[in-house]
Amino acid sequence: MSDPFVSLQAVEKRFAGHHAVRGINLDIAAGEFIAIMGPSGCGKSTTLRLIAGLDEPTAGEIRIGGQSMKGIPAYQRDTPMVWQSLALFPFLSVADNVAFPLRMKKIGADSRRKRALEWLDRMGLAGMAERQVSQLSGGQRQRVAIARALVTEPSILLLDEPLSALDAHLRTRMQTELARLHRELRITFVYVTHAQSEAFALADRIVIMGDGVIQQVGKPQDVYREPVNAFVANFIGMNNLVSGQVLSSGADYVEVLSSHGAFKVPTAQPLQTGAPASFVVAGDRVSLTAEGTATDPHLPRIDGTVLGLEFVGSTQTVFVEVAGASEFRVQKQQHEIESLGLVPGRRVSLSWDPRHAWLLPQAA
Amino acid sequence: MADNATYSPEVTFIPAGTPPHRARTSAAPAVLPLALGVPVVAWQALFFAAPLVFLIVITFWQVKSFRLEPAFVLDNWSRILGSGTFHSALIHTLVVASTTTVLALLLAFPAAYTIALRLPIRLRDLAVAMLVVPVFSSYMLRIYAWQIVLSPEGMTNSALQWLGVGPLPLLGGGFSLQIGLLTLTLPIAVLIITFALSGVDPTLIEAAENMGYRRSRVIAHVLVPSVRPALTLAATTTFLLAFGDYVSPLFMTGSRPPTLSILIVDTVKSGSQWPRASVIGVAMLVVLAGVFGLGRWFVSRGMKR
Amino acid sequence: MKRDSLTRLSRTLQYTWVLALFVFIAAPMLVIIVFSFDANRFPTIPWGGFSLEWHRAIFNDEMVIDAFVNSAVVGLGTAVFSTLLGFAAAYIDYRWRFRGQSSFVLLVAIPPAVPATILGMAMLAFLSRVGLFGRTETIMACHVAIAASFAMAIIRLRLGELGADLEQAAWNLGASPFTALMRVVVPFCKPALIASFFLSAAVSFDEFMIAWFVGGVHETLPVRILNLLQGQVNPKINAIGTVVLVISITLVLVAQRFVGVKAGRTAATEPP
Repeated sequence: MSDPFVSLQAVEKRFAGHHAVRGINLDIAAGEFIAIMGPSGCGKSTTLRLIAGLDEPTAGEIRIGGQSMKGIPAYQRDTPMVWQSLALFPFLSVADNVAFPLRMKKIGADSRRKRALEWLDRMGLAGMAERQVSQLSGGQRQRVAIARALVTEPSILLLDEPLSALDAHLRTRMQTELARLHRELRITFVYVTHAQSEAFALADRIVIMGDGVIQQVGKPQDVYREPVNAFVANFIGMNNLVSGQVLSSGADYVEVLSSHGAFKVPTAQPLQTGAPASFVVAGDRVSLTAEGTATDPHLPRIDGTVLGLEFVGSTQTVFVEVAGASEFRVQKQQHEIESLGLVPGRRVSLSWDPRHAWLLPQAA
Repeated sequence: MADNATYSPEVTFIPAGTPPHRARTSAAPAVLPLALGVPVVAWQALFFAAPLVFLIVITFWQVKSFRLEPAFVLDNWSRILGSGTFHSALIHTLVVASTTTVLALLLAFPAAYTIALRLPIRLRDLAVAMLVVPVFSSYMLRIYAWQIVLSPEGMTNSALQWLGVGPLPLLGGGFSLQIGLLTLTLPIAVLIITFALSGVDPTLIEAAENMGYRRSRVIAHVLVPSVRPALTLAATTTFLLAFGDYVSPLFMTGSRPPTLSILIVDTVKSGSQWPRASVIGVAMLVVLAGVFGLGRWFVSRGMKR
Repeated sequence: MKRDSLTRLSRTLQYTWVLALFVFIAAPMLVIIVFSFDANRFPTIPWGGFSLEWHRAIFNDEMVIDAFVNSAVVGLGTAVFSTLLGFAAAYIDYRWRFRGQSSFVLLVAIPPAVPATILGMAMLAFLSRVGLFGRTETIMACHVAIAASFAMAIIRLRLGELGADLEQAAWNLGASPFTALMRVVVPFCKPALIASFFLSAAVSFDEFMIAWFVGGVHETLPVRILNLLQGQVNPKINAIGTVVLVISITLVLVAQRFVGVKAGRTAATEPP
């Protein structure tokens, strides 16, 4: 990326006995909404704190706005953060909370107040200025935290799982708020979360972290459809992973031999016979037929037994046990499930369009 | 910038996934902790630590014509440790303090039990607030009041005489002394045990009762063991206070027989025998350290079970 | 049923026991207050009639007035410095981890555990050797060494409720560590600071042993009382005692207003 706004180069962070971040390289463009995702302990929050300056990297360099952040303490960086716990000051009124960063910049009282009130208006909190934080609802407090972070009109906003404490419908509302704010302000948003739906809904690009390193960076739909390795495949979306070895290879496909059978998978380059290979088929691209129904012999086929069903809104996830005690997850609409008579114990056949299989670039 | 700069309060190990609790902001020189810490250490050193160290030091000094002079003699030690007065005072103080400890625990436990487990919450908080007050105020005055009340011309005896009972020598013996020491120690003992009892998991008690234990057995076999550390703390605190007290033995028994604290004051007042008074003081501290160590051993023994 | 009447009996006994405890604690205080208005020189029953004589007498007693002023000055000074020191110690313990931390905390926490007679003697011996004997400032300094322990405990408890995020949020929003300390930590600790102030004043106001050793000719009020008590029975003592009692108790109660001492599974402090 030419001229990134935030740049992390070979950044590492080691705590006593714990290597939280093991060397990451990331460029973030100005005005981009980037989401950093991963399971707990993957280092995403640590990375955010390193950008904010709340911790210093043990190795590597962080640049913001072209300037190295080495030796620059948190309070001298303009990287306000919205905290998971909100961290609002209980002894200050709502307006004083919002005005706090301005006070730290030594802006005069009248000017501070004016700007704080403007932001409260903008966040739909007009009239709440003199209230105590404890008198506000969860959603209102969330907005105060956001207003406080944005009142200095920074070039970057950091968010550490800001919506995780909210209940579901509030979360969706706040998501829309944040998307709107980003559109209006056009500043860089760095958003840490473990919830896929948030990241996918809001971000221009997502970063998947695991084990202290970046596993994949890309647009949400690219990461979703084309995971780069098994970690990402298992973390994102509903992917079914099949591992095996290359049986034969052609110009635009490989045949992978696995414990479930041999399957053809599209590929950009031929691979060596015998090399390990894995591919994924997304759960919403797998078709299910009841046992005994005629199937097209040219299409891939795996037989299995229905283990159980799980509601996800208007669809259900069907868990199918296949050979080798592994599981396939298939997403089906409610009516399809009924018409197929899918109940636990039912024998089914799984299939997919071979073009929908995706070969993982990193099989190991 | 690595975390191991010249003066570095080190960041502790934080479990994965938790943001560091005590993040040290980068480039923050150690000015703040030093600016805060040095006055504290200096003050305590000058007005607390140094005097105590000096106390130990002057046990080896001498007094020549009312003046304290540096020396290194063991006279003071041999004199005091061999002195009959010291021995009796030591034994007397130990006995008295032990008695107070036992009495305080026996009297405090039922009261704490009631306050912690039987009173409605608002009354309980009120009781606790009321108990904190005497800890920080009015001990000497209350002893004076007891002196008045228990004296031969005082109101207790007047009332007793009214009832036809002759004036009783309430003052001047173990009885009044214990009254005085309990005045000092009872509130704290009750507070400590109350705190511990109200922290006991109520499901523990319910479980015992469900198993058919009678109330008294529940208390003995469930409650008391679970507040063992608090009981030990109450015991050591009571002992500490009673052992070192000056006022009760002075006013309740007229310093007859003297306790160690009284011995110290007397030794200082007459002839300024600082080294000898210091020996008594150091001896007392040794005893107290021993008692404290005993308490900790007792608690840790309980934990290992 | 026999069970019920037994339970009721034991309940009655329990409540009576607690009541007896409070009578034991309160009765001596009441004796002093009531008999300070007794016209009789020696407090006994029957009462000698209501009189303000003794209260008037103490306002004319120069030594008592001086002692009271000394107590007030020493108490105020103790309150201020003990709160400052206690805060510094509590914050250091809260914020940083370092070698010798437990020794540091112990240095501040342990003075009240040392018998006042021993401590007083030691302080006198040492401080007179360095030339600090016989000044009210010295009494104050020694009182601070003790009261700081309570101040540190109270404030450290409150700091435990601060949570890691608040201070870091302040840094994140532009506050230097010192500014964050002044603008976030201190305001957050306000109730604990006020409570420490009043409690330290109470500790100092009530302290007589060290004040007796270290003060020399400068008597604080408890020292004056101690000296009076060792003389003849003096009805003025009741009057002085009443004043001291009222002040001490008020100080402790005010302190509790700001930091509620609550038993139970979570001892909470009152909201700011």
